[in-house]
Amino acid sequence: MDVWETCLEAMTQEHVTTPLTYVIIYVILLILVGATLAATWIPAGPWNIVIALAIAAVKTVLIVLFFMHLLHSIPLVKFVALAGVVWLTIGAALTFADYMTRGWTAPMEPVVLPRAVDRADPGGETVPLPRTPDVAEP
Amino acid sequence: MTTHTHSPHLEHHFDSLEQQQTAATLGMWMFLATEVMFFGGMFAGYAVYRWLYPAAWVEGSSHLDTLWGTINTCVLLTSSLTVALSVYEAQMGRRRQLVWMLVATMVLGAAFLGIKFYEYYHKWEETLIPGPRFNLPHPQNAEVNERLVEMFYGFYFAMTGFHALHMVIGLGLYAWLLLGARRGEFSAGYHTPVEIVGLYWHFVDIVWVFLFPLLYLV
Repeated sequence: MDVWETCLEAMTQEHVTTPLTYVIIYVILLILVGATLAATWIPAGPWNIVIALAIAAVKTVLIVLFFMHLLHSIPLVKFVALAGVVWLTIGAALTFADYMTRGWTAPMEPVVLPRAVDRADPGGETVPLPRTPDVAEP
Repeated sequence: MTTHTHSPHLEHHFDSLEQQQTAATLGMWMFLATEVMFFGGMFAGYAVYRWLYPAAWVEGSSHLDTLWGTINTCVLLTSSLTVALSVYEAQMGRRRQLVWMLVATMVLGAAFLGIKFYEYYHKWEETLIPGPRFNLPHPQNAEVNERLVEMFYGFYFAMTGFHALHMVIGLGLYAWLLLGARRGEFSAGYHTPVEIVGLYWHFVDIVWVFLFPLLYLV
């Protein structure tokens, strides 16, 4: 270890999380794994997945705050971590909004477009472009 | 200024070692945000199909071994503990203990992958790998659509496969860290690589924390 690192050891403002904290969080995480398993034997219908995801979210928060040191990171880093979650939420929300509203409106009639006129060949034979139909042929 | 009066690890475009370390942390978190989107896409696809075909999802999940899934979850959580402790040892400048924590992390990571591929081998034997050979041998629900159960297994292999790929990359990174640690490259004043590779490993652990209940405990 050279001179620089020795001096920096005294000067650093880096927060040190103690091993005891890590072990306590670890034990809580294991308990939560047990809770997730126990919850599967409680018949709660559609709420089972909600409980399981809620426990997973709690485990994630613990890992992020303590193991990944986000609790003691500068606000900019916290903001970036939050931004990742926000973007995921946007993606998930818009995806589900699409699928869950399928069939809410009546299907539209296909629009008949006027035939395009080729100015270089006004009265002549023009071959129409192949068009992939949006809806299946009845 | 012709004389260099700073740590040899300080890159010249940074004002201080602390700023450099914070920049590295910020960069890794931004990468992890992109990884959230990467896995998030697969989770969203899984969610849509689970919502559409719940019976097939229950059937598919019932053929996964919850015991090994639980063991793997505990293995990975323990590896996250050894990763956190490796950062602590690096902060304390204790090289020997740092090396031990890095080795422990790699052993646990390898154990996870071993169990995972043992599970995959089992699925091959049970003809549950999506493709021409897919066949549902003993369905618990006789009325379930086999094609949809095959879809479940498509998600299972894609999601756990990409997760396993991330684990392999993580193991490679830890092998690199281990080499550096044994050579004494890390100290209390400089251990940024140990911290940011740790962030990556914790993220991969978080992905599994969600994969486990969604795949094994439907």
